[in-house]
This record gives sequence, C-alpha cells and structure tokens, in this order.
Amino acid sequence: MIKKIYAFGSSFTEGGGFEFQVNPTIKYAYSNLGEKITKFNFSYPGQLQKLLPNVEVINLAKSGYGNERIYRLASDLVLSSEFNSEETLFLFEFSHLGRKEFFSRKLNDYIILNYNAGLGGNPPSKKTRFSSVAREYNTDIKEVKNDLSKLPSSEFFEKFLKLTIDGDVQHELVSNNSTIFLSFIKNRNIKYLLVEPPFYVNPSYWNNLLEPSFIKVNKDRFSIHDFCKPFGARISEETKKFHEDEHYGLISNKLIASIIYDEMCNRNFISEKPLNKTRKDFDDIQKIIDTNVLKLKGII
Amino acid sequence: MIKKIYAFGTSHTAGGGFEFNTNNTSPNPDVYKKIIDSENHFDFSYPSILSNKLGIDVENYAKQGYGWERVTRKIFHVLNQKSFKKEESLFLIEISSYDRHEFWMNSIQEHITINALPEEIKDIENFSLAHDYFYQDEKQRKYIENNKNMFHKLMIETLNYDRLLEKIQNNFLLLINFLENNKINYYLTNGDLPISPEHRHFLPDYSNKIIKYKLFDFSKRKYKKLENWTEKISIFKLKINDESANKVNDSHQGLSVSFYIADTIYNKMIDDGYLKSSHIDSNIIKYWEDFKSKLLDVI
Repeated sequence: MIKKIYAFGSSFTEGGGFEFQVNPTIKYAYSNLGEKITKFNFSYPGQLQKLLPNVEVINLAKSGYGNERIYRLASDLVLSSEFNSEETLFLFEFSHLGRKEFFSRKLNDYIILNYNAGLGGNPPSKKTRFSSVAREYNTDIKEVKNDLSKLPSSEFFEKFLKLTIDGDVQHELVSNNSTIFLSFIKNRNIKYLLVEPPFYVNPSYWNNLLEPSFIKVNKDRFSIHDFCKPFGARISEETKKFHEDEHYGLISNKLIASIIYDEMCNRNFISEKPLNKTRKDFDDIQKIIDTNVLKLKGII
Repeated sequence: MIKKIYAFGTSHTAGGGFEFNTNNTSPNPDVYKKIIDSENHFDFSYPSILSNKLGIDVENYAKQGYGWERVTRKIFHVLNQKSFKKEESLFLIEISSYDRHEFWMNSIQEHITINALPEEIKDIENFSLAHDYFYQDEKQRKYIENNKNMFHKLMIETLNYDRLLEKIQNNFLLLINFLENNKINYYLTNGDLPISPEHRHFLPDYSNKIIKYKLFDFSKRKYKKLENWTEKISIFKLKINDESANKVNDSHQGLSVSFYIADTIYNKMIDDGYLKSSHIDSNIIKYWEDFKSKLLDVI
C-alpha cells in the first residue's frame, strides 16, 4: 500500500495562482469554502492529501521550474538510504521546452531561466525570447529584488539564450533526458503516474516507460492540460475574470485529485473505492465562488 | 555476433595527437604515416584499429575536448536510427572527466565544448572553448572567441564543484542503468564510473563491462594491471612523445597503446561470445619496440 506520495512539476502542480500572501484578493474569492487558505491545499496534491488522510503527500513542484528539477529531486530521493520504493508513489507533471536550470554560486541555490522557444524555423534562434530569471517566483518582492541583484542582468541571459537555444536541439535533449530518467525510475520498480506525460519521448519507448503509467480517464490517457482545456478550468474562468490567472482553479484541482485517487484505487495502490467524480459534482463550490465574486464586485 | 562498433568518448578514443593538417600549432604527426598511411586521426584510434582487425564497420563519435553530454547525445543519435540493430552492435564508451560542458551555438549551428574546472575558473586563461579544437574554420573560431567572455561569466556564476559532481554522477548512473535496462552491448574502455560507493548498489552488476589491461610502466620497468589507462599514460611514459622520441610533442597515448587496447577489446569480445575467433597474443612491448624502430628509422 502507498504511504507516501511525491508530486513533481511546475506551477500547475505547485498550486500556481494561489499565492495568497502576494495576491490577498484571491483569498476572498475562495472564502466560505471551508478550505485551508494555503497554496498547498489549493493545489491538486493538496486536495489529494485531503482525500488520503493516511498517506503523506509531499509537493516538490515549483513555479517556473521544469524537468531538470524533476530529475534532480527525484533521483536524490531514490538514491537516499531512507527511500522505500514499495510504499512510495511519484506523480510527474513533465514540461517541455522553455526552462533551463542553473546553479547560482552567489545565491548558493538553483535558479530558473524561462524563455519562449519555437521548434523549427529558419534561423530557429529568432523564435527564442527571454522571459524571466528567478530563484523563486511569486514571493515577497523585496526578496525577488535581492535575488536579482546577485544574478547577471536580464540582458546577459537574453544574449545567452539568443546564442545557445534552439528549439530542435532542446527538444532532442529533453527527450533523451526524460527517457533516461524514466528508465531509471522504472528499473528501480518505483510506482509513478504521469499527470502530464512527456509525449515528446521517442515512441519506441512509450510502451515501456509511458503507457503503463498513464492515468486513464474514460479509457483515454490523462494529460492535465488536455483534460482541463474543454471546461472553464482556469482561475480566470472560475472567478469570472475577477482574478486573472491562467493556472487551474480549485475545482479543477479537486477534480484532478479525484482522478488520481480513482487511478490509485484501480491499481490497488490504496484499498478504497473510486469516487467517479465529474465537474458537475463541484457545482456547489462554483456557486459559492460566484457569490464571493459578486460580493467583491459590489454587485450584491 | 557483433557486426558494428560504435565508439563514444574524448580525444583518447578519437585518435587524439594524430591530427594532420590542422588550423593551429599542434605537432605534426607525419612521422606516424610510416606505420599507418593516413592523415585521418580516426585511423589512428583504437576503435578503427579494432575495426580493421575485426573486418567490421566502426562509427566513431568521440571528439577531442568533449565530454559526457556528447556521449549521451550521440548514444541516442545511434539508438534512434532505424537501421540500428542492438543485437549486432557493440558500444565502446570512454568515461570523460567532469570539466567539459556542452552548449549549442546558433550562429554556427554546431555544438561547442567548454573545458573549465570549477576551482580554476576565475582565470580566463584556464578556460577554453571550441567547436573543434583542430578543424574549426576561421569564421567559427571568431564567433566562438567573440563570445568567450559571456561563457566565462556564465561559468563563474554557475559552476559549483559539488553540484557538478552530483550532476555528472547522476548522469553516469542513469545512462549505464539505461544501457543495462535496454540490453545494449557495451564496454567501458577506460575504467569504472566515478560513482560514490553508496550509490553502486543502484546499478546492476556491470563489472564485466569494464575492460582490464596490462600495460607496461616504463618509469618502473614493470607491467601493471589497470582499468583506467588515460590517467596513467603520462606516469608510465607511454605518451606519443615518449614513443616518438619527442619528434611529435603530444601527451595522448602512443599508437602502440591504441593497438594494445584494440587487441584487449578483441580478446574480450571472444570471451564474451561476441566474436568467434582465436585470441590475439598481444603484448604492448612488442608494438612499442616495433613502432619505435619504424619511427626512428624515419627520423
């Protein structure tokens, strides 16, 4: 039986958009729900924790970061002497291009360089655009400024990107590294589910590394982004544009958590019965959010 | 049976020291044409020597100055080829040192390598970068040189010894795990992986993949059994300049060492059932004396 779950990924797994200390207004939009006002609780791993009180859920996802952080942290865990593969489940939300991790000697910590990179094109470098660099996003502005003062300028990173980043080359690198990483996890007999699968991996490895860990929804394989596309899943939509944020809202994260829960039941990772929830099951929550927003807008 | 050899590594596997007609001041190894009539450094490498002995093709992806990132990238390049047949292929992998960092460069549409040790990074003189240390054209050299300061600054800001070792160790571990898991035939040609003892049990037993040699130590006049020969070449006085009586001033292994390495791999292939043949009675001293006399005749 699973006793520990580690979630890895980007802001979509961390609970991006629910930075209550930075954006206090969002707290009011999501009040009166009986929910603990923390980023973790509003993330899907946090909601999964509520569904699994006897399991410890640890969210190692971080906004802005990508696969390099996943490989690093998951490998460290697996290689540690305390790791128990029998009782552990990994949840992976893979990202693709646009994230490059470095270690900053001055900050003595990892930093992330975010950029937009297109595949193909001629010359391909023209499509690469610097976005930002940070140790941590969505934190205290003073802290962000302090970090940035110790890092090279954004012009420096912009130049670095222009010189060295090419979509096709990065795609190949990400594909190879994800393959090697998943092969290691698989070979260590570690249970993992793909919340966002690395679809860019060479198809010849799919049946060994990806397919056995797909989350099934209506016989279809789950992808957090594909799944959330058809309905108003984002915070902007959930709050009727009161709070503009493209991350997934609380209802979406509750639904994602229940899908993971059901998958765990179906695989006998836990001895419970599937919840089989749909978006409709959360209409009551949507109504409370709607009322909160109308009050905040001064309409009622 | 093995029908194709793929080699990955650094200059030691690429035929380093036998670069002819280069664009820099590297020593001219012309004297060695007495032994191998070629001006292609790959022809002087142990994978090519082995391929000639076996009568099978070799694809040598090793490159001077490059490291583990290129090894991984090229291994996948081979694995992703439709024509690749794993049962008939053998990978020869040379473990590189940790001081090599690979980047893509848009302006020349090629990868470049940076050779930089974290402890020596501050001095730009200890920092080198190139697409090809011997054969890049002037345009490529200029582009790379013009951006040397930027790469130097990047390394100063980001290179940390402990983090780098952790990363390299994980990369080694994951790649070997991948090769084992996918039943790829491979040999480690210059010793074991630099993995800490507490992490070894995470890998299947790969000790049989490490080639073992018996080289001659000219400084002590006796044979030594070892795995990692690249770090002993200088101490054992087995360098190209030792072999050529300083006519070619280069510190890579002499050609006799590469012949002996090829023989050792050949014999190991027979032992492992990759090849039906008889052992070569190989002795490095025999090659050394034979080549030395040829080289000195020419001189």
